[in-house]
Amino acid sequence: MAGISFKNISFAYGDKIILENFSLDVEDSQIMCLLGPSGCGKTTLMRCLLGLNRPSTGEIYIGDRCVFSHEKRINIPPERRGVGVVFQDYAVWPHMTVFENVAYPMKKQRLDRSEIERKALYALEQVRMRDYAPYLPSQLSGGQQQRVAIARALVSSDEVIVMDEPITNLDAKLREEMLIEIRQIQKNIGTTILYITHDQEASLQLCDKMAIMNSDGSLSQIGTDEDIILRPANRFVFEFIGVSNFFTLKKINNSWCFHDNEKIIYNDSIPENFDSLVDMGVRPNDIIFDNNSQIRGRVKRSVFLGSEYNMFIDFDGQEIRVQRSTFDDGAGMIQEGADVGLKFLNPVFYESYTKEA
Amino acid sequence: MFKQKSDLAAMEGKRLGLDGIMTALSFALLFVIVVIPIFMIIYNAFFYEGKFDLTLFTSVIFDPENLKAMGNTIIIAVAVTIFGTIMGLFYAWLLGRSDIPAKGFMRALFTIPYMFPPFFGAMAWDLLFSGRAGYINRWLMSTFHLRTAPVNINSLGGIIFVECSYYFPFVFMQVVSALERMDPTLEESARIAGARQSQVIWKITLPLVKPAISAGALLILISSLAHFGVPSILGFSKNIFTLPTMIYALINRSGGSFEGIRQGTALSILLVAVVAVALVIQKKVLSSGSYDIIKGKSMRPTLIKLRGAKYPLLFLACLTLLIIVIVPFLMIFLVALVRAYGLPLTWENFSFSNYEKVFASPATLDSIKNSLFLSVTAGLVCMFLGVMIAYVINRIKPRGKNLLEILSILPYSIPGTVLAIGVILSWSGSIMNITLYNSLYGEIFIILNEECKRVITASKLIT
Repeated sequence: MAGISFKNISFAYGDKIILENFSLDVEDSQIMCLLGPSGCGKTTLMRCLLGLNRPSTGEIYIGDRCVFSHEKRINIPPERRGVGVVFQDYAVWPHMTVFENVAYPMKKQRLDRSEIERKALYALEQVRMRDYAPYLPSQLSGGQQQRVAIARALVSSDEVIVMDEPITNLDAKLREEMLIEIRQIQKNIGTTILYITHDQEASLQLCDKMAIMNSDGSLSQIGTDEDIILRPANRFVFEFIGVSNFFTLKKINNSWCFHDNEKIIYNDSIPENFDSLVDMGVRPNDIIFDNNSQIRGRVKRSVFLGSEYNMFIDFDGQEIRVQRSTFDDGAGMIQEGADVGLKFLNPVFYESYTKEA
Repeated sequence: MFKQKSDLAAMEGKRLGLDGIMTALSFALLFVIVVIPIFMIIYNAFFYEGKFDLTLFTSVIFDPENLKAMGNTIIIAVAVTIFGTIMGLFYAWLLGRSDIPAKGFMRALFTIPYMFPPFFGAMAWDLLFSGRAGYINRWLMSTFHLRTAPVNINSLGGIIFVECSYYFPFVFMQVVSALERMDPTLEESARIAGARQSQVIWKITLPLVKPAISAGALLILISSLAHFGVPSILGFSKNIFTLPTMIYALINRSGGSFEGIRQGTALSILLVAVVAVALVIQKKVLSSGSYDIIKGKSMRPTLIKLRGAKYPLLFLACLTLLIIVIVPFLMIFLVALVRAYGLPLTWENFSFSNYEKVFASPATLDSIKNSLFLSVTAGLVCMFLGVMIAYVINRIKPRGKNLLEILSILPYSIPGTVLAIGVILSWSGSIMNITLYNSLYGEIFIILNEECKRVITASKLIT
């Protein structure tokens, strides 16, 4: 059992700085989801932990063990870091059978034969691949190979497992099953898992904690899933974590109105600390219809998605996304082309990107 | 990966699509350019004046001299394959996976032997190390007061050495490109699983490039079995024969008589049989392990640090290049400068008169013209035919695909002289009318024809 700790890690490919003084702690026996847009340096960070990339500054600890330190000149090679990994492209060895693939890390740990067989078959069982044990990877689909990679990672370390987009090639149902399995295994063994993804739904299902990485490689927020969804630390997190509508508001003669059309007044309160311009963000399911509202739009398109309606509303030239639950009263009654009044709940306010003319 | 049949025309409901036409054309072409000449060779070896006659065949086959030649052929081919493969593999790994400096430069140099005609190198080495006459041998003998020549290039060992230095790029290039296409995370995940660097090389990298190694080794084996240039230059003077040079010698000794040609055909059947065995073995090896190693992002593989071994290995690589590329090239250049054959390589013996003679001669201009004409036309025709046949075999997969594959690979295993005989026997109307083909036109046709077959085979092997 061990946590992971990155301290002031920097890494650059040539002149291109990927990470700069990056610090992150993953607590022992937790699943931490590292969430960020593609190209933000998630995979680079993982490779630093694995010993495949050598950072130019900082330290990395697995439990109490220092696996990398720039100052102390420590750089433990990958084979002695004791980490399990699932690569994005599975990296299942094509010349070994499924069973041999899963057994290989344990062979290297010099476990005895019967132990290896028992653990390998159990891991394959967990990823629903036991029947495929004698197959070669070339006989499997992408999703099946991915599951072999997961099984291999599960047996290769009791301490720390890193997963880089491990379930991208699975269908929706298997994806959910895999997430439940990963969660279950983690609970049983108490492994620390660093789960790297840009898929927030997967991370919501899985994680104890989430870390949101900004496109420039810095951390925006670390917290529980509730923290991050309900109290996003900044505009980046708010926009990244879900669909959002943004409006720029402008203060004219002590009353707030919409920047693009100054005749439309916004009546609800706005935090005192903004004085002339402000960007307001609203989630699609926080917009409700209210016929008394002065803010009016026209329904351009309404898509039925089973549990909800996804609507695109034209508001003075701007397109607004609105989601209404199917169970809401009268949600299905709104026709395309209808004129509706809009009310914004739970708005968030950030400093405006728009510069004053 | 499973390959799917892709007959678009059939999907569209046409009965005879482009695929069908190409398949038929491939069969017809290979029938004309491969089957007929080979049939003529077999026919002439076994039939005499229209009657089946085995006496010539058996007498040629069991001739002790010819058996010796066969033994030599096999020894040389096997040794060249083994050493060439080891050498190609070692340098491919060094340039593909280690942090040795000047990679791009060395990689370009290592493919040069591939472009050199091997007899060119053989001539150079012959000049340097042939018995008491070779320049280096003479120098060594006079410096160290030796009675006998220290190195004898006119031997099996010498032939193996020279062929190795020209054939190792087959494996080198195949493996370098396989290493480049290989997903580096395959090696990385083995490290993470607990394997040391050396274990990764043995357990992951090598098995994964095994198909590339086998493909390259097959090329070496077959090329070497059928190779004529090096054994002819290094072996003739010491009566060391291989099957291809023996075939030539038989025809040559008999002064181009039909008897000589018949003996040659009998022997070439033996050669084809040897090559066929090699092909079957290779096919077995190759089919046992074919997998997809091209996947993943094109991330740069982690290079292995050579540390202390870096500069010694760089020196070794440079030395190899010096020996196999620069020395022969320089030697040929210098010898051409010498006023008369055999004079020592000193400044006062040098002159450009040989070069002047060559460039002034109209024959040179003609031969350059011929070379260019042949290589351009042969290149274009072969590219088209080769791609078509490769496409038919690998994508359309018609019935008789294996036959097609064997037919297309067969010409590569037959020495050029034998093929030429087959073509002459097939197309000269009357067998006695061979002189007709001594005209340039005939030669061009035959050479073109033969070149086509070789390139067809080559492009087949590449796909």
